[in-house]
Amino acid sequence: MKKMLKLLLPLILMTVSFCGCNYESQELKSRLIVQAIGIDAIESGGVRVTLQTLNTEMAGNPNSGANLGDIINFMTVEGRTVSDAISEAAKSVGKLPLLSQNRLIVFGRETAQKGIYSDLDYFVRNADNRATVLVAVSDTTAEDLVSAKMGESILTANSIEDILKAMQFNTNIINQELYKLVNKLECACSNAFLPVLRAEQETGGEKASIHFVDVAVFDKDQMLFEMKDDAVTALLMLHNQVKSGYFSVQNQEFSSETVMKIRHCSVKVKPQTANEGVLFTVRVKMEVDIAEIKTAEPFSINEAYLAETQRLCDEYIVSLLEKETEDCFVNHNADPYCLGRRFKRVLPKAFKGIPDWKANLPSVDLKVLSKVEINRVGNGAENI
Amino acid sequence: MISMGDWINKEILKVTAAEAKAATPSVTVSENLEDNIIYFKEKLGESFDILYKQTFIGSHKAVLIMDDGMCDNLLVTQQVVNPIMTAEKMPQNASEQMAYIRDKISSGIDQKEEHSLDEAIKDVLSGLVVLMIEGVPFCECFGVQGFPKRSIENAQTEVQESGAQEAFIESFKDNVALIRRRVRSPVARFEVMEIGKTSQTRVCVCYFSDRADQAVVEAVKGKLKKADLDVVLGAGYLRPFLEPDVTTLFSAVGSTERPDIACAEMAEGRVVILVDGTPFALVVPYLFMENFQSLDDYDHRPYYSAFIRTLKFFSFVLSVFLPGIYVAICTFHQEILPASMLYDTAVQESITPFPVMLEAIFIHFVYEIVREAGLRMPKSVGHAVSIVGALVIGDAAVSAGLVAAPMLIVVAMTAISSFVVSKIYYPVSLLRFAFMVIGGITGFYGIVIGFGVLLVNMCAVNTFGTPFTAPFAPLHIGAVFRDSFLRISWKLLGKRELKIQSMEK
Amino acid sequence: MGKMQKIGIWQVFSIIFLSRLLTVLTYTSIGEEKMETGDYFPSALFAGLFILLFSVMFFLQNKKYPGKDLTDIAYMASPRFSRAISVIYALVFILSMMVTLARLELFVGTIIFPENDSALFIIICVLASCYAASLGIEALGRVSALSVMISCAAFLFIMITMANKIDVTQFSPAFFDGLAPSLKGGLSFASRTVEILMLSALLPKINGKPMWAYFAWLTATVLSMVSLFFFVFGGLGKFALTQLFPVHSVAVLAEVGVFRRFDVLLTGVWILSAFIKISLLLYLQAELLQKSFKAEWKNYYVFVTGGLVLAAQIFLAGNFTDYFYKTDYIMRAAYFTAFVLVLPAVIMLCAYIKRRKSDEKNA
Repeated sequence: MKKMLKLLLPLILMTVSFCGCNYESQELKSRLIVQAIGIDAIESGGVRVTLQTLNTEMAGNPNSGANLGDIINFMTVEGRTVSDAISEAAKSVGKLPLLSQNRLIVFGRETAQKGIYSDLDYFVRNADNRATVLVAVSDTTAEDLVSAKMGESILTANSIEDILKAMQFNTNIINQELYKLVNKLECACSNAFLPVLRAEQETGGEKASIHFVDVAVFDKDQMLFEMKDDAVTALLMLHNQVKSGYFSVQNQEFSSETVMKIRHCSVKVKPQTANEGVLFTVRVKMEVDIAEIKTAEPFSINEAYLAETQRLCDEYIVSLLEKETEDCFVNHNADPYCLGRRFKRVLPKAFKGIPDWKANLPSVDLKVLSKVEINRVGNGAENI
Repeated sequence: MISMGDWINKEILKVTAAEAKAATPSVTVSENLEDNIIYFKEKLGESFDILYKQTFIGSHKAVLIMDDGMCDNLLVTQQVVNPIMTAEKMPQNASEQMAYIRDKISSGIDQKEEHSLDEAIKDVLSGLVVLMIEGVPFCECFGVQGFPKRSIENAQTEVQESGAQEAFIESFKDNVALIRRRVRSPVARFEVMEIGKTSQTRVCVCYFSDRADQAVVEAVKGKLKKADLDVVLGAGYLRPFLEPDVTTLFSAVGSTERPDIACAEMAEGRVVILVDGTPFALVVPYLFMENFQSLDDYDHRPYYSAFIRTLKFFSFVLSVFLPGIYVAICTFHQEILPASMLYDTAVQESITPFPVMLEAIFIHFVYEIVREAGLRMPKSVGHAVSIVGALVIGDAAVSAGLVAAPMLIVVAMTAISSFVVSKIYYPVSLLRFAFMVIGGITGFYGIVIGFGVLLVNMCAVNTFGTPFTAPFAPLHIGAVFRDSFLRISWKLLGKRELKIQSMEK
Repeated sequence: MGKMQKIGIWQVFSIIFLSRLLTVLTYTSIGEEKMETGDYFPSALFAGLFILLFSVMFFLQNKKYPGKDLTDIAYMASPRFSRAISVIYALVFILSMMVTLARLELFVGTIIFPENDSALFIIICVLASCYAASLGIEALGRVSALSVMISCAAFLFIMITMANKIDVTQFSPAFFDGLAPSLKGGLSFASRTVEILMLSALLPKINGKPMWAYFAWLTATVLSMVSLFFFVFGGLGKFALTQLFPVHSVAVLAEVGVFRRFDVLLTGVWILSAFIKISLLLYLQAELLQKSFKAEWKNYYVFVTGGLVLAAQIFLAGNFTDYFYKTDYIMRAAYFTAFVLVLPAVIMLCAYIKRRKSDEKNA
């Protein structure tokens, strides 16, 4: 009996595993490696999907000098839904799409204005797709951005990802991952936001360059308004996402403009109820260096100058945060700063007493307390 | 946990029954010299190397029988023949003559009295000279061995950076001497038995009486006696009889070429088995962890030893799993690859006509062929094989588009890693192929299941009552920190001896 | 293997901890009571309390009948009763095995091999488990002890690499909708605990004090649930609840340099735990059956049951996959109470009555 089993078992396993098991179709060479996906709504109610894929087809052997050509391919397909369109793409090239290497999902401006949730569902439901993929809005159409060619051996999706990740050292750029976007879209007391990018063709050439334009704020899943520059800085600050960057202050007393480099920034938001309303106390603690002083005459900084600059920095941050939040709350009834979420977490009972958080936003107060410390001043400090 | 005592008793009972069955009556030495000579000639036939010198001692007929190739002729002449021939005051009585020769004339120490003709034949074939005198119902055997043997050389398979360079040779008496020289203690015991119906190979069971478990010693002897073999020409013949019940790819019987390692094993309460004619000693019980340990570890500082052992273990993991994981990643888990690596790998794989799994199996198979060829070829031709191998597997295969370059890197890393732990090279080679197939069919998760099966198989092995996966499973914290991947300093290591029996709990 | 094999306390802890860890790892919110993310932490603590409550009969069993499982205790009442009990609990273990395999098949079919048929993988898994079960509890105990270390190392690695992605603002306040969701959640988690029965069946095989293993297991279970929920909801927020297997999804956040998608590592640990759990359940049901029926057929019980479970999964898949999702937590709690509290109480009561009667007779 045992001998029979020992003989039968490997035979059964081999039969089952080797026949009908088309593992070849799963290999890297048989997959359409998607790097970026762009989605535009079309008039008929369907979607136009633009795929940026890796070109791995070799006409010859690279070891014998054959040239691969462009590193990326583009294809544009239409379908009733996103999955329809992607299956059309797979049909046209005869390869199974590999979405796990996808770096970017782009929505066209019109699509973003109409609503993105219906198109977003595919990416949430598909197990292949990473939850950490970056999402963005194109200033024109998603097709323009995704099919932009930056060079023969440049992975455009890689470059766009790098631009968005410049948030690490730039206070005017923000990025958003898919799962964070979905969390904000589902939350009744906050507004989602996405970076807006534009592809610009270089004059006379085939190459394009990608630029960060501004940040689109959504009301539910439809684009509501856009914010740029200082507003983006305020957004980053209130999310405590400022790692590094520059800002400048005008020093009237010394007739100069001082550019500060942010070394470290920590923002703590404390919600409380006050005067039958909601008050958020924002404490900003920042360490900066003096990066540059723009002045008509060369001069060395002195202690009075430093004190004045520090005061101006504090003033700048306070006015920045107060101004931008007021603009959002009063003019747009939007809370992309997730202050409502913090209020709900810290004071759930008080939050329950507010029937509609967004309607209540214009009455929300913000008190900003800033403490900026100038760490380093560089050279030219002999007067200190 | 099975009671080792019960298990040992069961084994001993089996052996005793087998022994009783196999025992046959022995022919005693006759007082008639001619009968004895006839018996010898019947048993040994007309072998040219068996010499019979018939002579007279006093008035009694006598015969000296020896195996020409096994004896030192000079010793035979000096210690046996000359003293007998030139003896003065030889007694008249035959028995007295024998006693006189034994006690007064023969200058050797190695001598014994035999009453059985079969034993006397064995002694002749072992290089002793047998003296029989008419009228004496026993014979005297003189130890004058001088068979050709190799001189003690460096170890070939267990190369150590520092420490002794001696290795065992084929003569088990010399091997015993090598051990004795290192441990000049009366606790060292060496018990000889003969195994092999035809070859009657001498096997020596060595242990320290103050630390080896007597039950284990008896169990080892019992298992060796149960070995139903015709000839025993190497230690490997006896290995299967010492292996545990559960079949496993990794051997639970260790082997060593070095006397210093044999001494160290005996000092931990293990039993070492020397087989005459083999320069390797078997060691039981043997743990899986010991495949990653070497004597050099004890010469170096503890932190370096820890590093080296961890490196060896990592090499083992690499050599078993790397090809399978590579195949699994390329077939099922492409998302793991970083973007730049993905692109290069995808381009390279797109050129090759074969699926990744077949490519991996093919290239590893070719590597094994080249390795085996290099091993068997004479040294003078070995270089040519390695050059051809490098060309075939390397440059030509990639240029022809048969194999992708990343696959070659995987093969190279696997090959080098497998040589780091050469003791378990053979099971590692087989496992590698198994995991390649599993990875190609079911991906990384199939490899995990395969790993689970391998692990549970190893965990089920008990070698002479000691778990094979000790000290990790079952967990023995003291031993783990004392001498596994980590090794404490000799100042602490020497304070308390660690016996293998303590791993049973 | 004919002799009684015993395992130590650490090995017992490892086996039952891995088994429970698998349940936590395969947690899905589908079919569960809807809760705010902040309510998961108190529900883990409540789950610990409920498990403690449900373990009352086990404590009694260990105190009054040390070293005996429920079949042995039932034998004191009557051999026929013991046979019936062994069959009942063997069926309970078989059902647990089916549920585990169904979850595994769902995971494999959805996440691992969405394009292929997962049947081959399941076949290999069950065959491997049958082999492991046939090697005995000693081998299973040792492999669990090693696997628990591997699992902990893997979790620690993933948690460290995704620590910087944790955003505490993603947690909703606890008890926002009152105490009820946390209590229901705790009951739901507790009703998935088959480990109490496993421990009860393993009592004759334990060398040492089983209560140490129990309390260590309970503590580790609650801590693992709390820490996993912290990372799942701190990392992904409410997005985790949209995912079929949130723990798997959160592992996607882990990255080291250019290497991403360490969910493969976590899933490997998951599969190893599933393999050990299925092997253990196969072993336990065979042990129970061999006590009441022919002991020489132990390996047949293992392989035949494995085959039946496999056939049920392959041919009835869908029905069993839905089983635990369609049954609400009340039904599950009732089933759990019946086999963990009520039936053991009945068994011990019968044995006690029988003993009293025989003592009276002897007196």
